[in-house]
Amino acid sequence: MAENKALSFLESLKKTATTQKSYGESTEDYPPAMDAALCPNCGAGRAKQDGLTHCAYCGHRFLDVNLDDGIYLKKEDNSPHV
Amino acid sequence: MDKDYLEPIHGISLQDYAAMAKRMVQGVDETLIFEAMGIDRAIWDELNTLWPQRMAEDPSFQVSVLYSQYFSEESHPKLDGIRADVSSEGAANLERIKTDRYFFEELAGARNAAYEYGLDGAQWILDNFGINLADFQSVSMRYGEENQRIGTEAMLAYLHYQDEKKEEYAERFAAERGGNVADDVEF
Amino acid sequence: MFNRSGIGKAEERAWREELREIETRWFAFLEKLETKMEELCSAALPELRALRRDPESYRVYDKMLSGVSGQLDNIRKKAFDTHDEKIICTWYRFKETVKMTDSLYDTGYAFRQKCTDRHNEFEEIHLGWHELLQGTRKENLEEAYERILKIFNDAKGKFTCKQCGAPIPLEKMYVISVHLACPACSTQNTFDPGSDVRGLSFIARDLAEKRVAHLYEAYQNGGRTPELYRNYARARCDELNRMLPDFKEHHERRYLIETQGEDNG
Repeated sequence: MAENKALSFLESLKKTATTQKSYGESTEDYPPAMDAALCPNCGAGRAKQDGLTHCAYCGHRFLDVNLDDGIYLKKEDNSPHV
Repeated sequence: MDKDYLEPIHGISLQDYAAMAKRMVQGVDETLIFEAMGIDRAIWDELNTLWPQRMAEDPSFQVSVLYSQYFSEESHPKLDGIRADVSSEGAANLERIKTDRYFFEELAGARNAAYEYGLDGAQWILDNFGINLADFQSVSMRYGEENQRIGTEAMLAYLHYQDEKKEEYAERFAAERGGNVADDVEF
Repeated sequence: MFNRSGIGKAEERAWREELREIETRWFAFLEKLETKMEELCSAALPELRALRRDPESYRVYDKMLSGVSGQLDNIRKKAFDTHDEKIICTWYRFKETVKMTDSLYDTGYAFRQKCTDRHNEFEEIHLGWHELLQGTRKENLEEAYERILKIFNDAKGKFTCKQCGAPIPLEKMYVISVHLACPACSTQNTFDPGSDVRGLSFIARDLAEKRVAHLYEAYQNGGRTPELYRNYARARCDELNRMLPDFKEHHERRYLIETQGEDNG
């Protein structure tokens, strides 16, 4: 009888732990992926030498910020003709 | 040294970063936040790595303290247009925890009790009172600041009230589980 | 009629009786609570370990751990409150009636000592279970790390440029997204490591600590000298650098700050 108490508590705990939604759970798990952002204005890709902030063909701004030397992003990733 | 820790990263200040993080915790779609700030996910990932690294490094804790302060601010010049969906009941409850500290303490106690009974307390508050975690934390931080002004005695009185409420909610949660494991052990 | 301290024989007998009864009850009570802790934890531990091993179940694991710990604390609180109510209160009531010079006093003192010692024993047992429960969090870290490496290694040769279709090899592990130029057409592609690989940032420090736990023990048992602490912190930093080489600067700065504090203290 006494043993049932711990077991039934655990059972009930597991049930709600499984059924209750967790905060922020909507962010689904997803696998590694590769993508490329094309210019929404002219459809061109961004070539390495043209930088990440602007489209080299039509001047569309991809990013509104100036890149610093971060982890992988570097100052030279700012498009040259701003 | 302290100044370096507060230098913007990729043009994003600590204040911007805190405002973005807050909206994500509120449940706003992150692509809307990136768009409004003119950044992309790769930049965000660096910000979300480098700012916490600075917080962990800064021996004066200034970065963390300011982050909390900025996180509790409601307005941000570029992000005011984007809001999380909040029910009318949730909005009313949020207003109430801002002005009625006892009500806030009650929910804080309930949230702690929920965690102790194996529930996600943040989700429980959202489900039952419509207040998201970010808004709840913001109010909590503001009362944390208030504690420094009101003195120890007043602060302990609030804590005591929170504990009382926690016990009340704990009894409710325990009943839902058929009682606590050791309820049948008597002296 | 009265013994030399002024307490009546009947009263003395009543006290001895009461103390003996409370002590017996207290010991039996704690034993029952200890059985409860054992029943709860021995049933919960295998469940928690199984959930911990399943990468899909980490949220359920968190809630279960929190709920089981909540019950364990509830049992502890029950013992604590009862100690206050039955042992300490009785002791104070005893001290109010019985003087230190009374021969009975030693009996009361021994009662209190025995009961509190028994409570401390209970606390030790509680702490043991608490540590076992919390320990499940770190148990599977090596497995989790291996899994992350496998996910990355399985994926890394499969990516091609979205513009020209040429392969884009990943030369190292990234745990956050990064722009990578196509080696053929130089278009910037963006690699996102996915939710599992991103998780490495969150487990790396715990895993590093686990790997060099023997050095922390050496520091704890070796007089807690700054030098032993530095040994430990250095090894932990090296582990972190191995797992997340791109965050090396941060690990090194933290190492410096942490060991500076140790030197001053």
